[in-house]
Amino acid sequence: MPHILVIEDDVNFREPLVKTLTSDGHTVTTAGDGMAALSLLKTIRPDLIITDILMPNMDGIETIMELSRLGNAVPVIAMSGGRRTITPEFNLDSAATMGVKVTLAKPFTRAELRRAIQQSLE
Amino acid sequence: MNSLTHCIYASLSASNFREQELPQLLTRARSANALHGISGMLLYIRGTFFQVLEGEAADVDAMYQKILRDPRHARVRQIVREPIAARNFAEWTMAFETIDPVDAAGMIGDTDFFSDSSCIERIDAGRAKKLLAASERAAMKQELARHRHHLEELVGERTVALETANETAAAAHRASLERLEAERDAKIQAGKLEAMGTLAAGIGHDFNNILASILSYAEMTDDELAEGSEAKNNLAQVINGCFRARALVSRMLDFARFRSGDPVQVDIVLQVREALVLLRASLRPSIELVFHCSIPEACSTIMADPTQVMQLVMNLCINAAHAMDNHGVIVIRIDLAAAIEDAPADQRGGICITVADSGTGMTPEVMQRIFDPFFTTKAPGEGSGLGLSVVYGAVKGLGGDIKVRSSTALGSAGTQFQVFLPTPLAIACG
Repeated sequence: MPHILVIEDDVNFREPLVKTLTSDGHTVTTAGDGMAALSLLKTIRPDLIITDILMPNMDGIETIMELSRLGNAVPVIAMSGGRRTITPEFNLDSAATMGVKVTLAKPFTRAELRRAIQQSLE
Repeated sequence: MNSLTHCIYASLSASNFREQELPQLLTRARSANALHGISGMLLYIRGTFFQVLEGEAADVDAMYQKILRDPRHARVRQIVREPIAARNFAEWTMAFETIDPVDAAGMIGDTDFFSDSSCIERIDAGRAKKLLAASERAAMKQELARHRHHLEELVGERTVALETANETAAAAHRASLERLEAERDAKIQAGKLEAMGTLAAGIGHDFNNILASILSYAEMTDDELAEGSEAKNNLAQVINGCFRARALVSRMLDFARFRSGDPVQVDIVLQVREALVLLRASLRPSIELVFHCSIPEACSTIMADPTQVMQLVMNLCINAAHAMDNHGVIVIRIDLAAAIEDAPADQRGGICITVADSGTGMTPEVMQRIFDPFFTTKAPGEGSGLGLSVVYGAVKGLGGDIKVRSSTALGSAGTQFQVFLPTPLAIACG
């Protein structure tokens, strides 16, 4: 089963998300922000990255930009509770224009999550 | 100086003389003298007035006759004429005393006539001065009255002018107050919407995150529960509640995302193209998007908030997709407004974005209300009814206009929205 790196600062959501992914049989590694994720990526090779957008230190958009600068080939799912709002810098549309093929608007169902993962790994 | 001086004993009795009549009497005497080309003066001696005339005998005689016939001189008791030596006033006075020996009281009139001022002193300087003062006072009073009357007229005229000016100013003041109030209301309204937008976006984001964990835990718990159990049924309600809350936040965010930022120079063609890329990703493949652009590159700049413009186009297209039940063609065009047949006169200098669908169109009843906030033809929970009203508000806010054409008639081209936006280079483009 694929190895997934979850980047999410909100522990209240990170926990059930990790549980859901684990119960589906995925191996899950977590990071609290983009900075932590990038340093983790020096040692691990996940098959998929699921990242939140609005986070402290290094947000999702910055992380995605940095990943693409580093020549990342791992598919990314961007998720956010802000959908198209907050500011143009922090929305899923911005993520989409940066090459993120699959986005998830919070809250999403397990079925939506599974579909997104499947779509990303195709 | 004439050789003879005559005295007309045109006396008024002391008993019926009123001092306030003196100015009139003086005026009348002077004007009569002027009329007849003779000079003279009025004297008041011992309660009696004397008109002393200086002139040729014939002229003075004519004057006598005239005074006698004049009804205004009804109170003239007696007239005598008698040559008087001008410089012998004492004698002259004495002569009168023989006619009507009353107490010497004083004199008034043209003092120049008496070169010997001591004569005046001798008669009764006090009384004369008093009478003169009275006469002057009366004359001044009259003059004052005349001035007062004139002043009243002036004040009246000025008052009318001032009242008119005041009314005009008051009307202008009211108008500017109303305008200011309207501007203030609009600003308050915009501020409220801005605050609401910020609040909605912030709360929406946090609320969605909370919902995300509730939904995840609920779904995980659901796995543990036996099919058909009371707990499973209850949890189904929790999950259902999450979906309803999600829809509500979504509507709130729909509304919030139309907050406009500061206008900057925006390449409208670029923004529309970007919107189309995003649309392509979110619309069903059964919807074909066709884009035409006929404006020269130099005319593609407008002043707007780029996100707002992009969302405006996306909103119209998503609306079109829904209208076509997700099957059909959406044509997006950018043209110069001048090239649009029935473009509003004040928008001809700008550009026009057309979003046309191949759907079934709208009835006139629906069309009338499409820009009303919260009006929707979608099922409850599917549409907020805010989409087109915020598009309308955004377009108007950019100084543009929006036109809609639609028909339910068979074979019609569905619905067409035309968004007119001004460009700073309007003159060069129009």
